[in-house]
Amino acid sequence: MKLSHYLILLAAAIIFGLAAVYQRVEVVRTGYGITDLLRERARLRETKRKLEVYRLREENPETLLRRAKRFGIELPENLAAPLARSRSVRRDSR
Amino acid sequence: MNPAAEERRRNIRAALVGVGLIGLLLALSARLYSIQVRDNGKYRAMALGQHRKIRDLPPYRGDILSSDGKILSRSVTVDSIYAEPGRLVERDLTLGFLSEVLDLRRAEHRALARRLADPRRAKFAWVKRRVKEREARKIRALRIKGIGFRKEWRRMYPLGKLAGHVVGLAGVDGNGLSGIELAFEDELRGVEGFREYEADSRGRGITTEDTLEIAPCPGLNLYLTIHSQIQRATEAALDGAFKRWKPVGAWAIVVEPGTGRVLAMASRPGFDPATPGVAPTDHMRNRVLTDYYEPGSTLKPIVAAMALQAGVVRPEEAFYCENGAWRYRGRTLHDHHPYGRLSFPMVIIKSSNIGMGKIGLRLSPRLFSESLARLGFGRRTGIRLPGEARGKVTSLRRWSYYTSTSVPMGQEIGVTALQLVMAYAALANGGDLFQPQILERLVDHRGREIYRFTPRLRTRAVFSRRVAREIMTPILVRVVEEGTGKKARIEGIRVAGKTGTSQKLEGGRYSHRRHIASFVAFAPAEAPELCVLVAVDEPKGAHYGGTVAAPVVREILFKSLAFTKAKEKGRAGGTASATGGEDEE
Repeated sequence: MKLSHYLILLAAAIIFGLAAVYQRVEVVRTGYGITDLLRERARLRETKRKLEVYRLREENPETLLRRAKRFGIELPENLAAPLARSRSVRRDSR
Repeated sequence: MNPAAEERRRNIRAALVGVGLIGLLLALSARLYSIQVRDNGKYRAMALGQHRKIRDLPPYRGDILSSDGKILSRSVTVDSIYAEPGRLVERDLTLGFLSEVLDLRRAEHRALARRLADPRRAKFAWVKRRVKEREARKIRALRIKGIGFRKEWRRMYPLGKLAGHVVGLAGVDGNGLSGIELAFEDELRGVEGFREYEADSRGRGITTEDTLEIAPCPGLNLYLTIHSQIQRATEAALDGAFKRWKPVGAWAIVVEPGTGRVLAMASRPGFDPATPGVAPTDHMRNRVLTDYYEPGSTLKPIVAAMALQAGVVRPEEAFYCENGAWRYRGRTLHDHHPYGRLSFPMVIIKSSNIGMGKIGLRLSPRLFSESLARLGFGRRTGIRLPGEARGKVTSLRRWSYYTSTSVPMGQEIGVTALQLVMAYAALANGGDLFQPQILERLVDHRGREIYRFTPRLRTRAVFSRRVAREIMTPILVRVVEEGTGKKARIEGIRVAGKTGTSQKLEGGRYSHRRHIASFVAFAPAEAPELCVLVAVDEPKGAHYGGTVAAPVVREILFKSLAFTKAKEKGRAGGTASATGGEDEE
């Protein structure tokens, strides 16, 4: 075998080696990416769960009433009506 | 020098170098053999230990929801802050900063300072667990060396105190401690998973083809039979009574008579499940289940129905009520008002103790005792909530004439609110005794229904339809319309109910100062959809069930019927009214 043959074989080996290394680096990089995406997915899921809790808490009539009171807002007539009506009837009947 | 000798010396040197090199190669090979073959297992494990990590994946604890889909309890992750005191550079400065951001009180600040200075905790010391999001954000932004974060679970209660006694508490580790959280721990807990993955030198995970992940299986979501709006109405009404009458306790329960589904269950004093440590332990008691009491007159309709069912009395019979005082076997029974002859319905409407005593005597002790047992008194209802009391029923062996005249007026018997309301539900539904049901369905995290609980009969036909619907229900309607329960009247809706005022025992004698005022009712009387019991323990200022508890029941019924089928039928358009009602029971 001539020297040139050896050199070609060496070059091929180096190319294969580099390709293998590149592939490994890509695998690791993708692995990081997947891990980050998985983490992000978990974080978003968790945020969604927290937001649902937050929404419910904000929708809670007690929270709304407390907040309304803080701003000096009176209870709307249609909400207050049943209670007020029952009280007034009781008072009238005495 | 002789060239031949020179040549020989060179050869010797080359041979020595060659031998040396071969020796070196052999030594290297031996070492290589040792590492790669002989100690392969050991080094492989070391390498794996450095690169392969296993992380437990905790499951989400299931949610607890009301029947109308409102989340009552849910687990979310929150940050907990820890320190590695050995790595802290400016300990005092860091301490001061942490103290300010986390708003630590002086005692907490001192405790944290001690923890950070403790040489035994050089590697790990909690700074504060389950911190608020903005606190964690502030501290994270500063990237303080030696300060780290860990995710921990926290149970959130979006509707605040609502149904706190039913939902119960979960501990720091997420395990159930009381209420539904404890009773359905297995269903809620879920199954832990794990992830085995490759990590880099900094411990960051790399997902590769070798990564192995067994996903955690989240706990099941529990849908209760509790309706959030009815529960809210019940709690609001109970709070109103608590404020008005300043009792030591109060409790209420709303059930669906035709199924036994519990739509609301409340107990006061209450507690906030988000901050359980603040309230005394006594406030965490679900009195609907744990407390049994003498029901007083609220038991009269039940005993009357038992007597009718046994055929020992007829609805058209009349009873002589001895003008208010009756001495029987050395004991004198009294009525609040003197009555002469009262018809069977009027004995209940006027709540005559003497009339009821005479009805009770018609039942033989064995029949009486068996009838009480058939109605579930003295036994747990099997609601699957922890802490349920059995109540107390005099055993047949100890039964006396005294018992036969006491029990009909609700003395010498201890019942829980749940037992009593279920007995009334049997009257309301035409005679069937249901097992109270608190859990409606189990749903997995993908929303698939795993199991649906169906109404369960405990005893079929404890009362005949005629006794329950044709005789007793009209009598109970008259109690509300013309008797002691007038304050429970709702215009446009016929309410059937009975008041009760029981004296509490004080040093072995009935107290004249301490009472339990109660009222049990169902409505609409013609086709009952709700059965409600309210009891107020030691109210101040008044003590009659008709005065204290009946208005609470009215408020609960009035608001709650709007959320049942009554709304569709246009029945909810009625207005609440209350008149009179100061009669004694």
